[in-house]
Amino acid sequence: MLLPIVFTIIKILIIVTVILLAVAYMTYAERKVIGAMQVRLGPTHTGPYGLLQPIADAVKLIAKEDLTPDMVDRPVFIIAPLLTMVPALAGFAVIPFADNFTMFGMEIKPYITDLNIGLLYVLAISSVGTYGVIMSGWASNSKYALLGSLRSSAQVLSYETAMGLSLVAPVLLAGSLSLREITLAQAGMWFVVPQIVAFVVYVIAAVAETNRAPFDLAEAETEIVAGFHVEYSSMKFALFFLGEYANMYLVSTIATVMFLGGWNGPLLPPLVWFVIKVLFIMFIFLWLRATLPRLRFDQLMSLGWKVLIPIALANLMITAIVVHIVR
Amino acid sequence: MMAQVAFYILAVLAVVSALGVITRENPVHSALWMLLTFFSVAGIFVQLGAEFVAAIQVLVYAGAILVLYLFVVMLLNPRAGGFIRMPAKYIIGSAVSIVVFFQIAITVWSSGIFKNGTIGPLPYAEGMNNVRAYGNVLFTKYLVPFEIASLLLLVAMIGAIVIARKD
Amino acid sequence: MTPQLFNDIITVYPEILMTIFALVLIVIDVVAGDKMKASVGYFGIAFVALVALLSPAGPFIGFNNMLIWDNFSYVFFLIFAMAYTLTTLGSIDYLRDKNMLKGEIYIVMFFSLIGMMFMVSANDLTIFYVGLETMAISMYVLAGFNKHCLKSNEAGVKYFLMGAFSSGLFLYGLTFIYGLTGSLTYTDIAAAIQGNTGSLGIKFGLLLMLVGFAFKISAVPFHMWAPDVYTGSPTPIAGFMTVAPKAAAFGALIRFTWVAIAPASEQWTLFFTILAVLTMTYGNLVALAQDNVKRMLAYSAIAHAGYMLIGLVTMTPEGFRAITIYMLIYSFMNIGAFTIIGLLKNKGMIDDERIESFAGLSKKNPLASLAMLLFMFSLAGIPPLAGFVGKFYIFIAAIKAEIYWLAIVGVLNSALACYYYMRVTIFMYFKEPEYETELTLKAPSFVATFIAAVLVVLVGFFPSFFVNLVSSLTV
Repeated sequence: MLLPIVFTIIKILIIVTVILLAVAYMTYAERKVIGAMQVRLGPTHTGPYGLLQPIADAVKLIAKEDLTPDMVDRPVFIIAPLLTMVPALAGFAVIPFADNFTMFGMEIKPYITDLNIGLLYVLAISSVGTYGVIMSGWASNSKYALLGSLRSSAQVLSYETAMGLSLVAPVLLAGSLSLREITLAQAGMWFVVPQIVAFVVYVIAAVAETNRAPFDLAEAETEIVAGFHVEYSSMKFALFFLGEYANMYLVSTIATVMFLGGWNGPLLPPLVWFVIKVLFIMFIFLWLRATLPRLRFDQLMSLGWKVLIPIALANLMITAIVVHIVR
Repeated sequence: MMAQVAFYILAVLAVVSALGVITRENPVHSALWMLLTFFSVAGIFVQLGAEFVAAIQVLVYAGAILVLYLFVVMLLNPRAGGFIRMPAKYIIGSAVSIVVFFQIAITVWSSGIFKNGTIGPLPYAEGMNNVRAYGNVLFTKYLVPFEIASLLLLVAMIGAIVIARKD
Repeated sequence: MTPQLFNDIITVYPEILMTIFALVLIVIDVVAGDKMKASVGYFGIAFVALVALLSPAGPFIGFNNMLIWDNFSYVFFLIFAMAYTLTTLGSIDYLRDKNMLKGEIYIVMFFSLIGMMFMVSANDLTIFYVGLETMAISMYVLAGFNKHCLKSNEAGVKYFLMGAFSSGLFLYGLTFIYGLTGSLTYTDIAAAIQGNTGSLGIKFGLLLMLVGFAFKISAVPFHMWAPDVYTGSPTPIAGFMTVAPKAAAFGALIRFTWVAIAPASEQWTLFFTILAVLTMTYGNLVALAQDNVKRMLAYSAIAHAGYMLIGLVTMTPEGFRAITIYMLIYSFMNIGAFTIIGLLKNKGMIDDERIESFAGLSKKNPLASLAMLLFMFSLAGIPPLAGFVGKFYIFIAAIKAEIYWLAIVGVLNSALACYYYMRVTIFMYFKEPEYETELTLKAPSFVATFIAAVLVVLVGFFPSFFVNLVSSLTV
């Protein structure tokens, strides 16, 4: 009775710790990678090759004064960063990081739970992340923040549709919504091969979902200062930051599980394959940021509604017909 | 035992947050309380073995409809206290709620659920889970209503465009 | 194809046909140039006629007893088709004049027809409800179609809010019925409540559902949305809205009371009686005080719903057939009247639809005023016009069911109603014009008025064809 609960708690702790560390080093990687792409060095001073830079940043953020502006809506202002952070972490509850394996005579399941609605759960939980952005913008009682949050929520709502539609095609192929079963169905062939269209649509939508460049209109520094979190400081700001990067990891793991075969791969251990794939997608995020200029808002909307959604729908229809014929 | 504890937590949360929705003066706060209501109700759905409905509840109601609602509220920006307080409406509303409460209570009581039978999901057929069973029913027994729903959405879309388009 | 599948498909075949045509209409709208938008309406009429010709003769029951296509569905489809045809023809001039002739209006109306067909053909509450919403959403759009007119906006929003509210009530009642009977199919519900009619939960559930229905047929005291909505909507569309959704709601209500709650129907006669008396009396009394003819007709639409409710009170097949005849006749006479009102233009300072605008119309446009006269007389129920036939069968049904006092209340109400219908004709024929008014019948509206007027006379003199059409109806 008690043992499984203890086990689950241990798993949760491990996963959260790893993700938080990964997030911290993602900021480092981002600066290094973009530095390299722009022929700069990036951080070098703190520790060897600047490796301690993320730790220093974290200490700095925590040590700063936690300012709460006078005219804000206090409870909402405080809840908002949590609403960004928590859903992003909660989404990892259903991600299968590797296949079941035995250790010390016990079968170990490297995931917290395997829901039969796994994918829907992730989509549902991550759709709640929008609230953090909306609430922070509204509660800040500031023009820039409100504009940023309105932009962001419109964007996220629009791209959620395309994202969901592109994810349905692999679900059709696997015949299940459980992320573990979807991974197992990809043992022979990764779904990225038959579903390359859906994969591309998903990656674009995922970039937009996470408000990353070139879709970072919500925090366009040159137009609206920093968008929804302009009034935040110290730990609350750090929570937004963590939430954003954890969200990036979440969409990357979903891409890995749904399209890149999850832990499947030759030679290397499953977990390693999984990590490599996730990091590859993360690299694409950075690459896009360093390469592409920001879109205008109307371009963003017409890309979402007039290009991605029709493509995803057509792809879905073709997939459904093919699956029906083949089965 | 655990399930019961979880149920009572969820139920209390649902009721308290629903009270929060109707007693807040600020519509944005009401919407946030409603978010909590959706979540607790989704939790109860999970307990009843309806995971699919729970996920859809969060995805559609919390993730899309409530966001749109907030959108409108934020754009119109009714300031706190901007709504005229009308005690008469509270009284009428409370009276209606009490009537409805007793109606449900009597119905549930008279249906005899407390005396015989338990509340919970029925067992699934072999090889079925919630999502599969749901899909099966939706595309066989309830195929016609499902397809009419697509017509409904189409006409709603046309209507929205007609009403909203500049000309 | 298995026989089962074949049976299923043929049950839903008219609706499938309508859906395909509706999609074709969208394409036609895209192809048609800005000057050609009326063609969408003409095509719509052709499609509706085609479906009326191609529909199979029933009865077919398919999809696990959830859907029925029988003569009852067919006759109601004819009512909708009639309403669509006349409204389309009658609205083209009006819309062109107001500069809002768009293809979408006919497309949305066409979709609403599909919703109504499902409402009437449903033998299952799920199908009924989705059909209802399809119809209702189309109606909200149509009510608010004149978006530069505040009154039209108000009509759309009001209709939407009250419609959503009534749907909510209906659904809430539905959950009770579903919870207690475990089924949504009419026949299963009937079997489940057989011998269990005393259950409080079922009574509550049915009460809420019937209140939801009462909202849709604008029965007093659930009528409060109707006058404003009918007055605010574009005039020909208002004619459509007083007829088609009401017919659909009545058709569904008949099927629901006759099939699903048949074991408990005795309990509900009192409910329907109260509704009928209140609706008739209130509608007529308030209509008396109206100086705006459109608003007067809105209240008269409420009163007519009251007459039809008498047929429901009887709980006999005669009563249901009488409602069907009434609805059929009401559809063309009321839409005809709305068409004429829509064409009337007042260049003075008052609204087009004011009764003063009708003064001296007989000299300016004798043809239109003759048609209006026919419609008014028919709505008043003066023999030998069509309206009389409708009322006659309703009251006969009441008398056969030995509810004499209700028949008497109905007759008294018709007498009361004569006053305000006559008032319009008196203004048209015996008053000198105070304002400069204009009424031109162009080709489409002429055809609409002509058809409606001819039907009013023909049905009045030779009712046998229509009566035969519905005499074989069973639910």
